[in-house]
Amino acid sequence: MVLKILRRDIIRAARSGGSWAYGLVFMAIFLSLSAIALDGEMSKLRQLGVPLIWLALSFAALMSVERVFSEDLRDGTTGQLWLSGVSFMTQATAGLLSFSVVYILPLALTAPLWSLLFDLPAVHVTGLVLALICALPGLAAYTAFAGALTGARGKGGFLAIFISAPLLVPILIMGVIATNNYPQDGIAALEYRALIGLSLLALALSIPASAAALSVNTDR
Amino acid sequence: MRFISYLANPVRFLRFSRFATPISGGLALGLIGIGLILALFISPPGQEHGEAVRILYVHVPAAWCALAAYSGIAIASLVSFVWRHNLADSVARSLALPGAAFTFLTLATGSLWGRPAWGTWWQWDGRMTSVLILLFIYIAYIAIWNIVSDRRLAARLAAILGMVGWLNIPIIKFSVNWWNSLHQPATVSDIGAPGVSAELGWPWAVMALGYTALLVWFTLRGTEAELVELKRNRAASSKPAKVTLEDISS
Repeated sequence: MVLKILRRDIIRAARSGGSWAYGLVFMAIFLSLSAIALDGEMSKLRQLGVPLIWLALSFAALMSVERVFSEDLRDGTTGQLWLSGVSFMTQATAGLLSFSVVYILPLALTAPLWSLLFDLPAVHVTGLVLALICALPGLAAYTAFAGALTGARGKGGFLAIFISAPLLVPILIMGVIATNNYPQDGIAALEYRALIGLSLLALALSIPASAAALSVNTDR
Repeated sequence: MRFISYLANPVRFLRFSRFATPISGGLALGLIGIGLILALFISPPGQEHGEAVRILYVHVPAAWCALAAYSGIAIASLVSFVWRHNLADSVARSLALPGAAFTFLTLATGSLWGRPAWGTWWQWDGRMTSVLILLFIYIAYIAIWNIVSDRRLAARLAAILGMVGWLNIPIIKFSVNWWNSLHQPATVSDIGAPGVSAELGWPWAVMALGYTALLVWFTLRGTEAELVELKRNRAASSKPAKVTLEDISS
């Protein structure tokens, strides 16, 4: 069932006229504006590139939060699926998976492209991509949790940011340290393992919490 | 547990709060009064930081209450979520605003202390950063109550957030400490570390008890106010019918 929902979401995203790419456009705008605000000075940009890309990615994920569960909640699909025997836990897992694949994965995969804007050395780019892949489940899990909590409400945008921003702090901290330590320690850097641990914790917490939030939002 | 289910009935709760509220209010007033006299006049100035050390008599109890209030929210959320305890929602909601205020007070007084002690208003050290993030969690918790208009729905969603937020606090604290230990050498001279002498310890203990009584008072008053509002809403939505079938047929 999880795979069926995932397939449906991918097809829906492909037919949506490119709404899945809004996060990428946001990242491009955010990073370009940051570079302009920093006077375009390459020495500064090289230093700030990694944290800025992490920030842009977190913000882009937060911006897409309304797309996780809200459409299904609004048109009653969540309730219908529940009535036909698909548990909220399954729906939460499927929603999280499709959110990661459709919205978060493209953000992480395009990181090398963004790093060109900041003239980052190749070794940093590899570290960045690896750290992003380790952090991806955690990032998606907390954002999806915020999406499940805010549900179908239109004004959920700010609320979702308030909810997930404090939860994302550990991932942001470890992600930036892991990327910066990659040139010396490589993938063996302790922070990579910490990132994977944080992601697993986030999954363990967010999936049941999102399922509970879905059940509350459909009044079951 | 029996006490918690006893208080689930609003009438019984009001019976309990009728004497508990004035007692906690009086205790708060008395203890904070005595604590202030002890802290401002009787306790000696610090050896290193002089009179500025008195800020800590306000700061440390506020930090304790900020954490206690959030733990209270998490416990009340659990009780509300598992046993569908009506009043636990109101208690959790009433704890949020004073908790956020205590967190803000902790940050403000910490900043005032930081200026004379470390020469800076703000330092991205582990403790200050994690308290700042605690304030953000409080704001998210309060926001969910304000944005979701259906009270029952808001209560359930806020309870989920309360519990998840509480589980995350140690993770956030750990990661901020990790970050801090990498980026900055320890600049905090922990005055409490080697054990506090009695003349410094007494005002602290009295103030901490006073603050706790104040937190209890805020919570009880908040819950009472919630009950009044709920009663008013219920009265407005279900007025007795004035027209009966007999009236129509005649």
